[in-house]
Amino acid sequence: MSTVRLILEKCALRHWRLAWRQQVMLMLILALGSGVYLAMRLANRAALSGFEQFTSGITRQADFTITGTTGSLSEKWLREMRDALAERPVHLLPVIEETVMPFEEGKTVEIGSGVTWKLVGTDFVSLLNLRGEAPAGLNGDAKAAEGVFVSEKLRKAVGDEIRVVMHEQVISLKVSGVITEQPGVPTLPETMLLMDLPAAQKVMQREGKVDRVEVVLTRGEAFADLREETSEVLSKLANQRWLVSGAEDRRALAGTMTEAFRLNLTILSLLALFVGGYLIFQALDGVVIRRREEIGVLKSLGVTDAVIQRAFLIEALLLGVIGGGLGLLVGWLGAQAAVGGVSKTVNALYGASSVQSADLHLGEAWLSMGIAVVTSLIAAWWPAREASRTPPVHMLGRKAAVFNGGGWWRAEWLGWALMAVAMLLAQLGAWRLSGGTRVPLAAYAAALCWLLGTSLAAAKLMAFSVMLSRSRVGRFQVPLPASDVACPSIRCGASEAPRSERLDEGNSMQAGGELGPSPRNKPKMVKEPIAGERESFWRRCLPDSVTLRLGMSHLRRPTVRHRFAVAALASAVAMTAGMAIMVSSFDGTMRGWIERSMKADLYVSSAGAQSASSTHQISAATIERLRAMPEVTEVAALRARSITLRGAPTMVLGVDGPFTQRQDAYAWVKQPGVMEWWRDGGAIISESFAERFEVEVGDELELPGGHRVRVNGIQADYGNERGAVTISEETFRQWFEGEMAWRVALMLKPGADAEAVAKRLAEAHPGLSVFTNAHLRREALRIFRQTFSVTYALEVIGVFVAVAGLGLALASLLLERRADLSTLRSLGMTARQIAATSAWEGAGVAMAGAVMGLISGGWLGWLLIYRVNKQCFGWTLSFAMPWGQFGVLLIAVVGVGALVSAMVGKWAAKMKWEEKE
Amino acid sequence: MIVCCFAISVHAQTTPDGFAIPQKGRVFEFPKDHGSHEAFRTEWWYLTGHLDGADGRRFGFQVTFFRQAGREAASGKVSHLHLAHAALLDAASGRFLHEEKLNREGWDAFSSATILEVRNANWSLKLDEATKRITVSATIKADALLKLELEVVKPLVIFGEEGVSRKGANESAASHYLTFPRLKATGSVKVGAQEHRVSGEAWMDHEFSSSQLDEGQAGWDWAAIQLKDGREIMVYRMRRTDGSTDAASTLTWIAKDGALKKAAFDWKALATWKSPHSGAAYPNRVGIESEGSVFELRPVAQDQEQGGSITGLPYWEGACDVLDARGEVIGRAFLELAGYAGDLKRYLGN
Repeated sequence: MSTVRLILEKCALRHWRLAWRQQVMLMLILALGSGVYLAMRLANRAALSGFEQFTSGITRQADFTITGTTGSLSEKWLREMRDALAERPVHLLPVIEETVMPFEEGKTVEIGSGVTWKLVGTDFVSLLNLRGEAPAGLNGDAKAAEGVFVSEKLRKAVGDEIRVVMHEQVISLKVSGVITEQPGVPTLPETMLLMDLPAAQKVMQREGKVDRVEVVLTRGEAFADLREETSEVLSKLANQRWLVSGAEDRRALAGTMTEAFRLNLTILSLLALFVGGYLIFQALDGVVIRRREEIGVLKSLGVTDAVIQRAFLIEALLLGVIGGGLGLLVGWLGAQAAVGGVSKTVNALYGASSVQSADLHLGEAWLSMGIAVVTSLIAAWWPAREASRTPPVHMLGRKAAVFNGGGWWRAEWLGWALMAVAMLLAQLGAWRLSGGTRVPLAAYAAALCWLLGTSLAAAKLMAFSVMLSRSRVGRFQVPLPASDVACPSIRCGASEAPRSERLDEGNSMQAGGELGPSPRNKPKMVKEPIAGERESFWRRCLPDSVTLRLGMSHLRRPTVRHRFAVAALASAVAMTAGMAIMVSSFDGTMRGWIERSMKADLYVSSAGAQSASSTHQISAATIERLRAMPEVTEVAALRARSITLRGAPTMVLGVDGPFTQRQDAYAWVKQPGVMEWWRDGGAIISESFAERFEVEVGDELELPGGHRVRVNGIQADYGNERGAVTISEETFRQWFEGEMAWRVALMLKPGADAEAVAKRLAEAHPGLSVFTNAHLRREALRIFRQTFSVTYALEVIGVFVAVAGLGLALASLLLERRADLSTLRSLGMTARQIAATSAWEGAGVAMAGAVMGLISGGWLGWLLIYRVNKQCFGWTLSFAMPWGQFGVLLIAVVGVGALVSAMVGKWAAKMKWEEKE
Repeated sequence: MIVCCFAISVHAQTTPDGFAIPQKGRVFEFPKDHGSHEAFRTEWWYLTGHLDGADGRRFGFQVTFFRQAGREAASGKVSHLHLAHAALLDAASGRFLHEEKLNREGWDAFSSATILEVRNANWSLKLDEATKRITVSATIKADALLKLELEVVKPLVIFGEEGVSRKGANESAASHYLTFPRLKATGSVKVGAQEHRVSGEAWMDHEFSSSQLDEGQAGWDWAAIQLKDGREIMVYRMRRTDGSTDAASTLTWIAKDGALKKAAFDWKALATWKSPHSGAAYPNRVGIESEGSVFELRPVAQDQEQGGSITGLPYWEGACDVLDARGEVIGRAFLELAGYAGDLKRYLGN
């Protein structure tokens, strides 16, 4: 161990001091890799925490939650529950809630941008039995506190007024108390307003009703029996009126709502880490190259292979720990920045969630550190092994090769095989979990196989880069400058293959690293130049063809480093291209859908309706007032009720049948075969619903409350991934308490100014959001694009990491070629020419990576659209190829790749032969 | 003059906030008067007793349901809170289990106005008019379950003068006080996983008033004594803030045939126990002298303090043995010592 420590002190730390910039960069790469993963995790958790925030802020977690199947629960039913439970020590805590939006006079907000609060009413007196004492600010007064209790974080004082939009009304709530933070009790979120149950029922105009009952069992020896009995008693009594769900069911339900979204983000961040892995490997490989002389000396002095390998691994471990530590900071900072964006998306897609700051938990910190350390160790494993195995004589020779990797590094066949496996995996269906959740595991595995496969096969394209350059330069050869002609490496070897490659080919190597020509690598005669106009043209286009040939010559038989650089670029570009195809396809499909489904002149909703699960509705009285407006010819109300079907959340919609049919507003996946879509218990389901619940046209469905419907058609609905069953308005009112409307569409008289009517309506009803057709279409597209904002950031990181990897790979290669570079410079090659050579080499690698990436991305896009997306959300999209984006991506990657390589070449040109770092 | 008399009469029947004051000569109607009297501010159904297990194990128990009304000043609307206490003493181990529940009147807590049926969450008390049997069930956290059936073996008695039991000089400091002085109890007591078949004797008070405490009163000491010879004694001592005994304090003998006899008495604290929970000092060993008889109430266990986890009003309510002057056990009693910790007026008003 002391030898290892000595090596670390005398070699590793010395190198760290000498090349501190490179070490810092390496640590930053590790930090970036683990940090991105951590940031996505934290931002996700923070954005989703709202789902578990209900009453946990004021009491401990309930054991069961009872929710109505078709709407609210009647307090009479609660009495039945108590009677049935008899003497069992079970606490029933009723809760009523509505979403509200803080109201500011004259301020309008975009959909999804408004803050959504939750007004929660619960029995303060009953709560005392659970807590044993009143939360600060509450007391056990029999009289219902009229006002709201708020978190101290809201910075309100008792007596202050809070104006909020509830349904379509603006109401004032008086602050009756401020709840302070208490040790051991989860803090009340600032987005939650708490009211005593009777007062809340009065404000919400729902006396005698509650939304759910939190069931808390008394802990004791017989807890398990009590739990089982309670569940059985309550479920048996329900008779389709309510559902009893356990804490784990609720967590799973909250999870299922966003599982696909979270999974997508996690997989994307893991793929970014996958690309980062390439970079770390390249960087550590570079470290080995720089120290090979020392390794040779150490070996000559009798240090064993195992000790050398261990020393490298310990160094990698140190790098991993420091990088991981920095990753915590990067991740935390990234999460703070991303949480807003993520939560907005979650809010728009899944419902109101209260966003907390993205706190770092100990487990996540360890996970992030672990990722950095494990990645560092895995990446260091092969270079360390190679360093320990290479004979000292090779190590001491500056021109000797160090690491060539195993045979499988070059196995292009493996790449093709993996691609074939990917295609097979893509044929498999989704993994179905409870609650209608589908995880496209096979499709994700297919994506990974495809990325790995195309990465391995990508090196093939470097040969095409060479062919491309040779065919053009060969045909229109220009005379070499004197210095080039005199360059021995060009004549006898470098133009054919790099020296390191020739070791593998069984070439003889002389002491000092001089190589003799092999029969396979016979020096080729320089072709005679073709004189004339074309020659002058190429002279203009390719100012120095020698640099091009020299640069490309390194790609003829690419090294493992080249292969890695291409692989990393191909992966990153493929991910970006795949996502670009998906977004473009979404965009096109959405436009068509919006065009077809949005035909009314005005759309009215509550101003507080900011998310998919918002409870804001419009009262029947307001609908009547809208109908009475002189400009309005037709009013169609859309009624909605969130339901749980087969343990999964979904929706029932009630529509004005004749209006909807007349407008032909549906984009059909399967058109109804009947004339009247909703007649005799007919229903139209959305594509997501059909996919989630595996329902077909003609099937019978049993809705909560024991109501049966027959599926007549399937329509595309890209606004709701939970799916929906649409029934007629009349049936909806009968089955669900549905006098209030979720959305209202207005048709205006010909010639009426929609903008003016919208303005007048909004002024008359400050609690309503009124959108003209054009405005709502814009909003719908904006929300949709917002969903992908996080994805873009990850793609940029992926491409950035891959291009940085290319720079590092070239730096390692040039370090290896120090002797050649020195010779070239002695023979008169300028630094600019060396930089140009490097730029061509880099451009060749980037071209191969980008082209393979785009091809690979094409299939990945297909996979995302027809497999991942279909299996996750149940949406059918029309495939659209974003050619323009592909072109920009290709130019950007090749251009930036060439630029970074030129910079590396310039740095290498200044490097002295004997320089070590 | 007529108007003035009418005004006095009205004033005498209700408290300033409109709650009824017990009136002499009230004609009680049953089963209605076993039920709730919402015109009065405070009401309780107070069940205490002594149980013996088939295995010889002895328990003391208490299950009490309170109703407390409040009136909103602005709307005049009356709302009710239901408080309940349950306690179980395992005499052998001295383990005293207790719990308090508080709920707003509604689906989870109520008291019927027509029959004896009281509920507070999962605790209940009900008199079956057909069988004349009272059933009571209560849990104490997850530690104990008490399920008893009570059979009336001695008829209901009504304490006080013409149906009004005075608690102080003030006209409103009075209650209607109805008691089943001896009930035969059978049922089960489950402590942890162990269930015991039990039988024994219980006492049930039903009292309603609008002001239990008068000005200058700090609390009361109360005892329900069941003697082996078939007689009972109900005694309460209203304590004034200066430590003296209020003139309204009463001792009533209940003869074997149920006849009531009010008698003078002397109440002496023989020993005090200081609660490690609340710090209150309770004189829980008591000597009572009345009609030439001397009794000692000796607690079966010292720690029988109800914690008052919600109301913050601890009190001592415990099973005692009744000893005569010779030191022989001649009966069992329940002793209540209220107002030694915290201000009772907070909940009971005045």
